[in-house]
Parts: sequence; C-alpha cells; structure tokens
Amino acid sequence: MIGLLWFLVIFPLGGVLLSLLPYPKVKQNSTLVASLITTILSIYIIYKVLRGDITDGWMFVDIYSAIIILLISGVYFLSSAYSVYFLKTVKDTFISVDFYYPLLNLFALSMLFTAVSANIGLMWIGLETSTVVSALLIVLEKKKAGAEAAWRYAIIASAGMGIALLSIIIIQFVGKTLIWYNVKLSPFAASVALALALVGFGTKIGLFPMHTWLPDAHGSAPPPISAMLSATLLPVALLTYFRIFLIAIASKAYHVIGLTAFFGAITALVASILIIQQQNFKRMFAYSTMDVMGIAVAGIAFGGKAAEASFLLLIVHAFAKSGLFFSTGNIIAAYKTKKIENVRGLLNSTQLTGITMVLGALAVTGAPPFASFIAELVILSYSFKMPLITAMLAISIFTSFLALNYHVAKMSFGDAKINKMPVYAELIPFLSVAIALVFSLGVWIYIEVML
Amino acid sequence: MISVAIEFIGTLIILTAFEMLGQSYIKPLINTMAFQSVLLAILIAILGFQKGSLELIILAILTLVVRGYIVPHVMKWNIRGNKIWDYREMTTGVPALVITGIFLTVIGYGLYQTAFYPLFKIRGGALPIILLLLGFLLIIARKNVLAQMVGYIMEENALLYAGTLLIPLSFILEAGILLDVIGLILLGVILAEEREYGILEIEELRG
Repeated sequence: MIGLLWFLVIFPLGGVLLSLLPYPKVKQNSTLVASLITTILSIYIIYKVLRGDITDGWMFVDIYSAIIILLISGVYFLSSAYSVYFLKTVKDTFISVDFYYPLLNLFALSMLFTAVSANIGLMWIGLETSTVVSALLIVLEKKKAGAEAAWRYAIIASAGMGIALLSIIIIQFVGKTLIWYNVKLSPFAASVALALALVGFGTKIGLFPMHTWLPDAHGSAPPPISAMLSATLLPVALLTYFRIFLIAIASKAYHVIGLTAFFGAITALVASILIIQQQNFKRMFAYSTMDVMGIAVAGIAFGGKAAEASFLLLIVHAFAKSGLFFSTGNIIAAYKTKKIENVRGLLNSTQLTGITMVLGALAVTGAPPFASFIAELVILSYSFKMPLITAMLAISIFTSFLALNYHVAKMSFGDAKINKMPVYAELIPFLSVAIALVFSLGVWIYIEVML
Repeated sequence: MISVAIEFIGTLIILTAFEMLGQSYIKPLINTMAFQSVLLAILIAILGFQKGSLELIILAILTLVVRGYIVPHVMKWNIRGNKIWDYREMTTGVPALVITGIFLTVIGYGLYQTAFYPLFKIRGGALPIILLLLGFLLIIARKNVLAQMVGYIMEENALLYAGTLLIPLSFILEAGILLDVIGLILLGVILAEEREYGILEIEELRG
C-alpha cells in the first residue's frame, strides 16, 4: 500500500513523463492536472498534519514542511496556469519550448522531494537538482543576460551547496545518521555544521553576502519561473536550514540563535536599502524576496511563535509575490520594458494588473490586513531581547515598505495608453494575490475567535 | 602503507590545483583537470579496496570515465579549431593568484585544524578543504566560463574527496553521480551558450 506522501512525488513525476510526449496540448494539460492534484493533496496533508506528524519511510512531514509543500504545490499550479499565456508571448527560445513543461514539473518535483525528506542528505540532493533544473528554465528565453544570469546562478548556488555538503558530512560523521530528528551532536560539532549550513544553504536562501545570484536570476527568468524561484525555492532552502538549526538547538549549541538572527536581520536590512535604488521592477521584487527571507530567517532563530510567524510570512509572501511576478510578465508584454520609470498608469490602463500590483506590494511589505503584518509584528516582538537585531529588522521593515510601495505607486498611477491584455493573463496574477488576501482574512478571523 | 599512498596522491592533487591556478592556456588547463580527476579516481579506488566497498569502486570508475575522460574530451572538442583558445587567457596576475592560493592553503589548513580535526581526527582531511578553497579561487579569478567550469570540476573533486575520506556511506555515491550529471548538463548549456552568444565573460563574478 503506497502511503499518502508518495503521491506528492508520484503526481509531479507523472507530469514530467507525460509532458515529455510530443504533443503540446498533452504537455500543457498534464502539467495543469498534475499540479492541481498535487495542490489538492497538499491541502489534505495540512488537514492530516494538524492531527499529528506523518512519517513514511524516508519521508516525514510536520506542520512546517506541510506549509512548504502547500506553497510549492500552489505556486506550481498557478505558474503552470500562467505559463499557458506566457508561452504564447515567447517568440525565440534558447532551449526548445518542448522542454519547458518537463523542466517545470521536474523543478516542482525536486522541491517536493526536498520538502518531504526526513534525511538531510536527500534534502541536499533535491536542492542541488533544483539548482540545475531552474538554471535551465532561466535560460529559456533567448537573451544573453539570461544566459549569463543562469550561469552565475548555477555556479554560485553550486558552490554554496558544496559548502552545505561539508555540513552534512559532519552531521553524518558525528551524528551517525542523517534523519534530522534523530541527530544528536556535541555543541562544538553542531556549531561547525550550522556555520557551514548557514553559508551553504544561506547561499540558496539568498542571505547576505551570498545573495549576488538572486537579483540576476529572478530578474532574468521567465515570470512563472521567477515566481517559483522566489515563492518556493528559497523557502525550501530555508526549511532545510531550519532542520539543521533544530539539530543545533537540540545539541545545545544555543549561540547559533544570535548568529542566525544576525544574518537574517542584516540580509533584510541590506535588501531593503537596495530596493530604494532599483530601476528594474523585476530586480526590485527580487530584493523584496531577499528582504522577506531575511526576516523569516531571523524569525526561525527566535523559535516558538516567531518561527511559526516566519512560516505565516512565507505563505502570504509566496502567493502575493507570485502574483507580482506574473504581473511583471503582463507589464513587460504591454510596455516592452522592465524599467520602473517607463511604466505609468497601470490602474488606468490595465485595472486588474494595477490592483494586483498595489495589493501584492502591500502584502509582501507587511501592510494590514495581510497576515504578513501580524507575522512581522510577532517576529519583531520576539527580537526585543536582542536590541541590535530589533533595530535592524525595524529599519528594514519600514524601509522596504516605503520603497517598494513608492515604486509600485509610481507605476500604478498616472496616464498610459497600452493595448488591452487578455483577461486570462490578468486573472491568474490577481487570483494569486487574492489567495494571500483571503488567507490573511482567515488568519484574522482565527485570531479573533481564539482570543 | 596505504595511508601514505593516499596522502601522497592527495598532495599530488593539491599540486595539480596550483598548476591550474597558474596555467594561462586553456588546453593545458583542461588536461590538468583531467589528470587531477584521474588521481582522484585512483585515490577513491584505493579507499574502496581498503574498505572493501563496492560503492567506492563504482564511484572511482564513474569519476575516471566522467571527469577524467568525458568532460575534458567534450571541452577540448568544443575549442578545436578556434584560434582564440590558443592565446593566453591571463597575461597578468598569475603570481598574485598563486600567492593567494598559498594563502588559502594556510587558511584551509588552519580551518581544518581548528574546526574539523577535533571532530574527524583524520590528518589528511585538510587536503580536500584546501582543494575546495582553491576551486573557489579559480572560479572567482577566471573570466571565461570554460575556465570557471574547470574550477567547478575542481570544487566537485574536493567534495568527492572529502566525502570518500570522511564518510563511508552510499550517500556519497548518489551525491557524486548527481554532481557528475549536473556538471555535464552545465557544460552542455555553457557550450551551447557560447555558440549562440560568443565567448561568455562574466565580469561580475570576479573579485
């Protein structure tokens, strides 16, 4: 009898195999069906996990991995749906468009494989696979900038994963197992393993100063792939780091809390400052992702409700940022530019895309009524015992809120005459942000009922 | 006796890394990379026979075939007949690079002695750490993607070296195969990119 968790791997794998068939409609529809079923399954897994963790051989799902699985599946489905429109706008490709859907499915599969693994070695394998698959997706469109960004991403991320492998070697050597919840290390071994994981997996999370690949890759990738990179790949890397962080805490290496919080906070601070000076809106959203990941990393360092708040922040960010990245696809198609200064009047010309941009920007910067507001508030309140971290987080939250919303407001207001976009193209990004909004309202209601 | 042979081969691997750092021509650089991979394959095979591990022997064969033959062969095939690869890639900075390499060797050794040796208690374990740092240096210092690819293979060699020396488990076989596959895919993509766009020079990766 195949357990429930196996289907999280089987359905995307089916998507990979079916999308290899030489029929465009089959490629598209099999990806849509595989991603939809995986999404429904991931919602059911959340329901099951609320009653207790699920273990099945090499797989383990608790509430944290269940949330990441939900993000991957949901954004996988939305990206598949948006790809139907996006592929119609692509004229010249570097890699044959026939490989787009198989690679998209494989990308989702590698991340789901990582998220369900109880074995940190298998998590590393999943993440390393995701690097090469996503690098291939970044070079889809025939642009030299994309080719260079993909190479830079592949080489920097692989270097980071190499350092992460050293961390895993230490865990295996000292702990005699790679099943994360069974690992017990000495405080010294745990500190060394965590420091290497911080640099290694931190590269993939986009932590400062290993973040240099992030704006290039997010900025050059096709919009559905930017969405998946930002909304799912970085959180999956964060989940892997979180597992090693828990090993370190279980091994009484408590000083890793300050180290992790510091790297999270400095990442958020640097990213928020970089948002101010951005001229390219895709790169701006990439730095916003870095900002959110920094805050989330600081949150997991504080543990307890702050760690839960980090995952809450990731949920809102995933769907809102996907909506923003899908919208960038619409804007590029309509305005033929990625420059902020050349885009005006979104709310006048393409109302739905304009609304999506405004709501999405508010969501990722932690404005009420989005649940990201609650999440950032909780993380900030838990940071009070480390005043330097509190100051860095507070400045970054405030700066990114002002900078990102200012840029988006400039793009949204004013006059513009552009051709109408297909409703479908505008609907998918709006749906993504609407999911973040409805989820947030649910969180408010839950808090109201519980308190 | 076997441990002496392993340390001797390890030292030779580090020397090949220095030869690669100072090598200004791309063809000898690729040849040295192939030689380094063959040395690593021999080292893994010796460890495999010593431990009676079939997995390590399979890994040694894979390393020999993929990194020792296929990758260098494909790279040399790609640059055949293209005169630009006959010129020096670097005309300045070689001594500085080698000195930086020596500096990194000292740092790598110090890092191993303070952070890793108390855990592993394996004397030769510093060599893969040093090799990893030298691989990073090659990636950072070189302009064209083929030289960076050589740096990437050196980095992969360091990881396999560390894995086989320090952890006797099947995971390193899976990881090794994955790294090989990824290396081959990346190589294929960058060669295709170069055909499309001309020689890629990634200035922002330097420094």
